[in-house]
Amino acid sequence: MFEKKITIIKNMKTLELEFTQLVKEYKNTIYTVCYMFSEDSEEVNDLFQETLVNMWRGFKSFKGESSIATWIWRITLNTCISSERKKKTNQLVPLSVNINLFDSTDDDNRQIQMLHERISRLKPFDRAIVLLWLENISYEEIAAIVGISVKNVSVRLFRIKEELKNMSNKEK
Amino acid sequence: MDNIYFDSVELQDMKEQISILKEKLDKEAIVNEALIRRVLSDKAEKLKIMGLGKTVISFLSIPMIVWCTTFLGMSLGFTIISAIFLTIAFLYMYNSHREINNTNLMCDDLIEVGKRVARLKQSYSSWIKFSIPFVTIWFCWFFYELYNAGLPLPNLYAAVVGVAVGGVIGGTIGVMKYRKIQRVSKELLQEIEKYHN
Repeated sequence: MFEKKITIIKNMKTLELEFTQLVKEYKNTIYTVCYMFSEDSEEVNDLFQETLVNMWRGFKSFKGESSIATWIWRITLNTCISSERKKKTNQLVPLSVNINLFDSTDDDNRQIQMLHERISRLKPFDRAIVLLWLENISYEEIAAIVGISVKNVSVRLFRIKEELKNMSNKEK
Repeated sequence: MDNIYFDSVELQDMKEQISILKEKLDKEAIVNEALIRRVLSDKAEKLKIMGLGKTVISFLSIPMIVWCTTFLGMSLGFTIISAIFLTIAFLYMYNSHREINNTNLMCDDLIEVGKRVARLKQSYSSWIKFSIPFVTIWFCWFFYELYNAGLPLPNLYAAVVGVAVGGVIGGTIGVMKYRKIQRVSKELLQEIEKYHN
């Protein structure tokens, strides 16, 4: 009984270490997605932490049915799309981020904000597809993450391109 | 990848902008020990325990209402109907939330998760559509039972005013929530529909 407990604790420790490693490896991806689905820094923080919690919940039972990247993309996008935006600021741990991407003090931030503005205007699923495409993810993998056919990915991307073009024309 | 057909000025700009974002984020730690500890501290388990607590309390409200109505001398019919309503409410909510509490829900593809979330929201709004009229009738019956139970008039008036105000506020919030949930789930399902066309 005691040995079984030790085994469980060791396995848990290994799991925690693997999870921590995974989070550090994909932190930029998760942060980027959360940023594109948020309107301020608090919301980014909120979504980021909710994503990590969902990842941890699913990590223990992840059996490698998909690649780890696909799995992380799904959880992050699902969390951002499904989130009901309940502000839980009193429970949030501050992220170690020294920049404020919602502040347009320098040229780089302004470029990032332009990107944010364009993507924010798209509907949630279109936003997901564009983010995946911008990460140079293959159409097959985009299709697997979103749950549509590869052909449908092409069609959606074409329509998104047209929509972005119309947005630019209206701005001019 | 057939990017060449979809590259446009806008998409090219976005590719450059995302590179700038990545460069900025590479310099940031983002994740820290405190955050990891918080995530690993079985928040999900705590949520499950809280959920279980709520379930137990909801279940206990059934014998509570039976005891209250009997104690106040209300009719057997009213007691039975109240108990049945609470039982149905408990089972309906338990069943609806079982799926959303599935730890692997978020691991599925976006369309599938979107459909499940939209269905859950719709089932919740269906419940509100039924429960608000029922509870309104129940309140009227409740006041009638209180009157018949021989409660002194000043106490009866106080009870009526208190419960009526609470009922109106609760009902208004319920209706507003119902309309919002309907709109959000309808939009979500419409978007999902586009992806299958």
